[in-house]
Amino acid sequence: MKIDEITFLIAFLAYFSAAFSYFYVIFWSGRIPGKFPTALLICGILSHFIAILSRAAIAGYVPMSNMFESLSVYSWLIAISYVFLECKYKIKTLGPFIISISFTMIAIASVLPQDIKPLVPALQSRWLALHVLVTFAGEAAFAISYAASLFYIIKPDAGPKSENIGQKAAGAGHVFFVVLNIGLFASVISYFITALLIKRQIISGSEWFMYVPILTFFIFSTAFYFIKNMVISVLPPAAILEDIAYRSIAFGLPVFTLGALIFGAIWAHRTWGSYWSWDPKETWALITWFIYAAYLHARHNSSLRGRAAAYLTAIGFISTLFTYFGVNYLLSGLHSYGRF
Amino acid sequence: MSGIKTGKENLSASTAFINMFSSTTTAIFLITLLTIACTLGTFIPQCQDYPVYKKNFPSYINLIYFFSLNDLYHCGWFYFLISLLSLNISVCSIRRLFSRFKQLKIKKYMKNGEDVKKLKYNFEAPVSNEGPGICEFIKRLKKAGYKIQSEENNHKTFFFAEAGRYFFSGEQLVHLSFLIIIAGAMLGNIYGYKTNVHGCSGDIISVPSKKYHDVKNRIDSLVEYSKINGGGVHSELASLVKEFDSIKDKEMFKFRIDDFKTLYFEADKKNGETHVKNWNTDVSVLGFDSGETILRYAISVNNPLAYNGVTIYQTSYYKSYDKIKSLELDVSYNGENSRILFSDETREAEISGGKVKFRLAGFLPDFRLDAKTREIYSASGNPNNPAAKFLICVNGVECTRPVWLFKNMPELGEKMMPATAAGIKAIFSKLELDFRDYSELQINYDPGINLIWTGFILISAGLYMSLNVTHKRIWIICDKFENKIAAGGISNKNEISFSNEFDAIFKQTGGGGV
Repeated sequence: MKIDEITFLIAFLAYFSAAFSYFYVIFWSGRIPGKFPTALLICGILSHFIAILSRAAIAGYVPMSNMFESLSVYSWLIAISYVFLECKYKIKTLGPFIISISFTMIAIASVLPQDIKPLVPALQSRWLALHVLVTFAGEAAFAISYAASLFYIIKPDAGPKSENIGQKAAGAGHVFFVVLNIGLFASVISYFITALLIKRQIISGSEWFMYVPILTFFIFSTAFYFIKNMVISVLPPAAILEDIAYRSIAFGLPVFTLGALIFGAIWAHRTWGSYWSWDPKETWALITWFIYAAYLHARHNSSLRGRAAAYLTAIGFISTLFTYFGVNYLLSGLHSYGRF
Repeated sequence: MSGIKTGKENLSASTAFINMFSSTTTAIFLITLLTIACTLGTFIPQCQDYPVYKKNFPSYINLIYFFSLNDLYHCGWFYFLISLLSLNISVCSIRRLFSRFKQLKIKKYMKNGEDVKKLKYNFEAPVSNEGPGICEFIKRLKKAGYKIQSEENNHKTFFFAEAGRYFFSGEQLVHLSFLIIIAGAMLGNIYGYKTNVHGCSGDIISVPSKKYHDVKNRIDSLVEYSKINGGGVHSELASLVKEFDSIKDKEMFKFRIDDFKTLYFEADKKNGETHVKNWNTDVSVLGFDSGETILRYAISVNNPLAYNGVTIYQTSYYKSYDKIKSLELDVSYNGENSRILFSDETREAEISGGKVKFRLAGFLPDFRLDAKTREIYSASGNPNNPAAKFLICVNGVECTRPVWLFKNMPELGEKMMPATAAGIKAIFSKLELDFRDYSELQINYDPGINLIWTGFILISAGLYMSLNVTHKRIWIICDKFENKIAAGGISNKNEISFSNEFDAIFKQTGGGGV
């Protein structure tokens, strides 16, 4: 194994261990995690950084040209964003969920082809690193806002100040939305971990493979439904969650605009002769931008403040995921090289 | 009295209009509609032919064409939605600008202690020798970036501290930049153009002027229309041709393709695979009259040539087997058989002591004839259906039309001879071809591009400001007579951090009195 592969594996294990430690300490022993899970996470981030650097040295370009490389960078940036969040707010209870998102990305990356191939002419540009890195920095902040908003939705004290704080419990619809999200994330992780184990020939692929994500979905969503009150009790107040979501977007949206829309447009103008082509990837980046713009407007509107705005944040992050995965695999366009 | 509106009613109607178009609800509604439209456009393939929609969306085909979903981003209702959003943004921004003016006129100081107490974040404390005094609070406010103004009145001093105030707020900058980007895109659409050209080494390519490009495009589409529909456009065509002839500046400039090559990475040591590194077109920009070289440039992917407001991009390339190494024709005329030889260099030959002359006027490696438009073209660069075009001159009289001879269909040669060349039979006996690398370039003229870049810079700055710059205001009343200090503050966003900052500024540590 080369150094980039070893350090990538260490990062993979460190993210998994960190996510597991956070889960175990918070939901099993009911305590606030100490420094151990954070230390594990920081080790993972450093190892991941070495993996990215060594791959760059081997390939001779900034490794963000295909699905494996970009997912790896995305996972790394989400983990870094979480460490910043923990340092700033001194809150660790969002850790299990945010690190799971980071782990999901690295788990998906690990089953993708990792060959180093020369860059196609269009990608041989300094805008590649700027466009991808800055976009993912923005999207990593969106991941934080997503987690904060998701838990905000089920907090009883959520909502505008005009509503009686603490009196209004989250309705069944709100709980269903959150449970659905948790279940889907868990099933995606299980799908890719199973695929990874089959790929590494640790287990043999068979018909039961397709049932793993479905089973995981039901187990995790049911489990979360039953422990939701415990989760709510350890979470910070709704106002803090709302502040985290807003501050993440306050950082993420200008960065995303710069990376995805502006750097992307400048690069497209230099390469394709058109700063905007209504390519599906471009259009979905714009859709994501529209959703966050709607969120900012909703925050200014007294009737939409609170949970409605939080839903928009969650939908915005789902849109970023669709822009990344859905467009690459379901829709064709100028960004088709990002599929592999 | 029905039908007659009073001034008050008119005023309320205009107020209702302004209220509606400056409300965030309208903005959210329009953004949602645009989001749905954009989403639809990504799932329905855009600008495809009818059979594609017929195959993929058989049940919705009428709906797709009725709502122009096949070209959604360029259809009327999509432009209408963008116009409504632009109107919403304009009205909202102008309204906010007025309220900004009003804000400037508001008196700065709060002189009633009760008003200060009513503010969301407030503080009141007696001045003691142990606690910090007003000087300490002012020092802390200055350190936190506040601008402070003060006014004294008898035994009271009023302070007004403010941070993060700009005449143009971040939101207004974002709104303005959106309008600038829309204006830039419109300018580019109306006054710009984009065209693809191709050529190989030695070819001279003309960069058309905007007017030339537009008129030529209209003529081409009219000619195509008349070919399909059998005429009916003579008068329109005649006026266009007249307009075309009157254009003085037909071209912006010319350039010559000096060389075109494909660059490769070193072959993979494991499997010997080679990968393209780039495509490089060396061009020389030529002077108008003299034709001398003004500028040499190597155009490649990611490295376009920008000259005279026009940008030329490397878009693609292809190989075409249209270089004639040797073409032999067996010709029989008046019982006399001859063999004549052509090549790219030798394009003329004669038989029967110069009575019949052949001139090679063109060659296509993969001949096709469009049944509708009667256009002749090469379907590919491969020699699937090689055909050569000849101009024949018999006894000094040139035939009125050229003749196409086909390698794969020799029998057509005799049938297609013009009447003046009747009796001449010519067939290919040998054809040797070589390929040429053709470079495909895109010529792009976009006068709106600088507006787009300006909009981008403003939107970045505006978004950063609107989300991260907090307008914070703190009022302090220092009463020397009653020996107490009252302070209150508000912020337009980031209330938690403002609350922490407020507490930190007015915390009761440190020393000093009034």
